[in-house]
This record gives sequence, structure tokens and C-alpha cells, in this order.
Amino acid sequence: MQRNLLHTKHCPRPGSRKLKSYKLRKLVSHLIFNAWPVLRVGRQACGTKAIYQDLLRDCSGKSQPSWSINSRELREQIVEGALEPEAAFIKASMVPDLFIIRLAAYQALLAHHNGSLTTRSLHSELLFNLSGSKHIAESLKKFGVSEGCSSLLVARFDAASNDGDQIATYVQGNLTPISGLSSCADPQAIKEAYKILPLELELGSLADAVCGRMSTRSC
Amino acid sequence: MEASPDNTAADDFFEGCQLISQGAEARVWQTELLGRQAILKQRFNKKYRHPTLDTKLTNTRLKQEVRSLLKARKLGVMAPTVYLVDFKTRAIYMEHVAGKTMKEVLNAAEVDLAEVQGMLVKIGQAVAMLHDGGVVHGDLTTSNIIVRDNDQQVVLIDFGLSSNTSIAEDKGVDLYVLERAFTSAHSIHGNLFDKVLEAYKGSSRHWSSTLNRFAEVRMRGRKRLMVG
Repeated sequence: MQRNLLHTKHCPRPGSRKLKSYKLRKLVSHLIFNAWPVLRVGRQACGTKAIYQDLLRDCSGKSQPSWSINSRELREQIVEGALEPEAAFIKASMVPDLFIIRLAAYQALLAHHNGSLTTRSLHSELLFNLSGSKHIAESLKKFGVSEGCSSLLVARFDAASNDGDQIATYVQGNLTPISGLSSCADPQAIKEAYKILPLELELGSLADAVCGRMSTRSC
Repeated sequence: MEASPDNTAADDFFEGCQLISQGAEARVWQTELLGRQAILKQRFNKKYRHPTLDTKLTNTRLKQEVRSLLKARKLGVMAPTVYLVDFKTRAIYMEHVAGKTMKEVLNAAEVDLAEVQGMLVKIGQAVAMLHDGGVVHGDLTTSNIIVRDNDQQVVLIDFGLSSNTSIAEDKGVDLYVLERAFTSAHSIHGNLFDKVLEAYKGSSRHWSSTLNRFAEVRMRGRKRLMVG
């Protein structure tokens, strides 16, 4: 019964007023489908629990913020849907910790499993989940490729071993080990994006605060 | 009470989970989430309720709990970080806080009273911050307060009965429940609650109205008489 509810909610019938915004959604989610260094995420069929354990075995890296990435072309290519294999391109400066990405991926898988994806694909869902807001277009803009962003973290579900190389050809930049992620993060921008208060940071890390914002979006 | 784990979850849902406690509404498990120790609180189906009502009630309570947990942190009160909320399985995954509950601390064979005093002050301050921010915990007992192992920080857990309110009555009842918890179970250590109240008074902005109400509640008990 619950599934039906979700179904009607997210797949408007033709003629319904929601359809228009739905098309927009589709377009926007295309924007995000592109990639760079790859987090390999295993998607195991279902059994709620099993999914996560294989989630993230291996991360190859992200690009060096040495020069601005070809973000404009990338975006265009994404809009055309020209990039294959598809992946989630995440602004590395917005990621305080890899756990955040894992959590977002886990949530995306869960939504996929429940048939309640809000966006058009798992990869866009991952990006959308990163945001603390329910506004899809805004989330994708904030956390996806945008002009002038100098480092990208690319995540792909079910990544094959050569996917990383393939995706790397789309992005102008250097691959760097994933261990450098923390040096890419821009705490100030993150705090602004999630509206994190100084009081919260006394209690725990920035990543903790971000976790809270991400998971409580639907509440 | 009939209670069974949600059937929508796969059978292996609780695999690798360790049951910590069970209440009337939910079971609490210790588990691992993406490589981190986590607490899984799952609200089970109530078979005696109409399914639609059951889902609705559970979802509302789930949301309320999560909101309060987040709000507590925003107010600077230690509470577990929420990792994930899964409405399908009616579960909340949250940070696992390693430590002892206040109850365990007070019931231990050896109690370091000087250390306990410090904790009581922290409890008073935490409750005051919560109340000033408009959150009432709803179930403040010594077993819902954890003293963290590594830094002796006081962490409030179980916001399942919490509500958003700024009415002095609710805050008074909150304090009363805490007092009862201290006096009924831990009175061998003397009057511990006075210290909590003192700290509350010291850090709450609205202490006077709350404490007036608290005195009233103390006289009559938690429940209000509704005559006429």
C-alpha cells in the first residue's frame, strides 16, 4: 500500500499539474550525470541490510584543484546525456568526509529498493541526498558540477574496474588519491550550505552536523 | 502486548544487530552502519491497530523524534547524531554513544560523589538549554542520560516522547519526572536533584516561571486534575 502511495506521488499521470515540474526534474537530473575519479559502489539486489556492506570498497581519487575543471563542457555533455558510464559528479569542496557520500549512496539505494527515488537516477539521487534541502534543482547546483569548481569527487554505483579510466577522459584535471579529500573541503561553504550553527560544532565534527542535516531532510 | 518486527523488512534485516533494549513502542539494537557503530531504533508494528492508523502514528512519532534530536544539537545539547531515517522499516539509525547511563553510574558498587556532582551540574545545564530552546524531553529519567566514556560529557537520549513547547507547565513536568527518577531510585546518595535544579536555575533564562510551575506540579503530581 505504501508503495502505491509513493508511486502515485512520484510518477504523475499525464495531464496532472505535477507533470511540468517532473519534466524539469528530469532535465536537471541529467545535469549531474558525469564523472571523474570513481568511488566504486556495489549495488546488491535487495535485502535491506546487505546493500550497504558492499557499498563502498574502493575509492580511486579525485582531481587536483590545480586549475579550473572544464565544468561548462561537462555540464553540457551531461545535459545531452553524452557521458557513458554515468556517475555522480560531486563538488569536492562540499564534502567534509567520505562517510557523507556513503550515507547519501546508502539512502539512494534504499529509495531505489523501496521504489521511491525522487530524481531520475541513482546517481542524481546520490547528489540530491547530499543536500539538506528538498529543492532538487538547487541541490544539484550546489553540490554538482558548476562553473569555477576546481575539484570533483566522482562516485559511481556498480563501477567496473575500467570505469574510472573512462570517466577520467571526460574531465580535464589530475587524478589524486582519495586521501586528499579532506584538504579540498571548504568548511565555510559547507557551513553556509547546511546552515550549521557554531554551537553545533562544539558538540562534534562538521561531518556529524552534516549527517544530521542530510538525514532529517524528510522530517 | 503483541509486538513483532516489521514484516516488510527482509529476514536478515537484524542480522548482525544486537538487541539492547525493548520498550512498548520500539526495539533498540546495536549495529554497524557503513563501518561505524550505530544504534538502530525500530518501531514495530502494533497488531491491534488499524494498519493505516499505525503507519500514520509511527511516522509522526518518528519525525518528531528526529526533529527533536536535531534541534537538541542545534541548541548545543549533546544528543546522538541521526545518520539515517527509514520510513519503510520505521527505523532510525543514529550515532552510538559509548558510555554508561546515569543509572548505571549511580547504581555502581563504588560511586565517586565528587564526579557525580559534576555530572549533575551538566545535566541541569543541558535540560535548561533544551527548555530555553523550546524542546521538552518528555521522558527525562536516569536511564535516558548517558555519561560518555571518553570525556564524561552528558548525552541525552530517547527523544521519543519529546515535544516542542514553551509552556512552563510542560517544563515543570519534565523536571518533576527527573526528580522522581532521582529520588525513587537513587536516594541513598542523598538529595542529588537539588544540585541539578541549582544548575538549571543558573543557566535557564526562564527559570522562575518554570520553577514555580515545578513546585505546583510537585504538590499535585504529574497529571493535572481535570474536574468540571
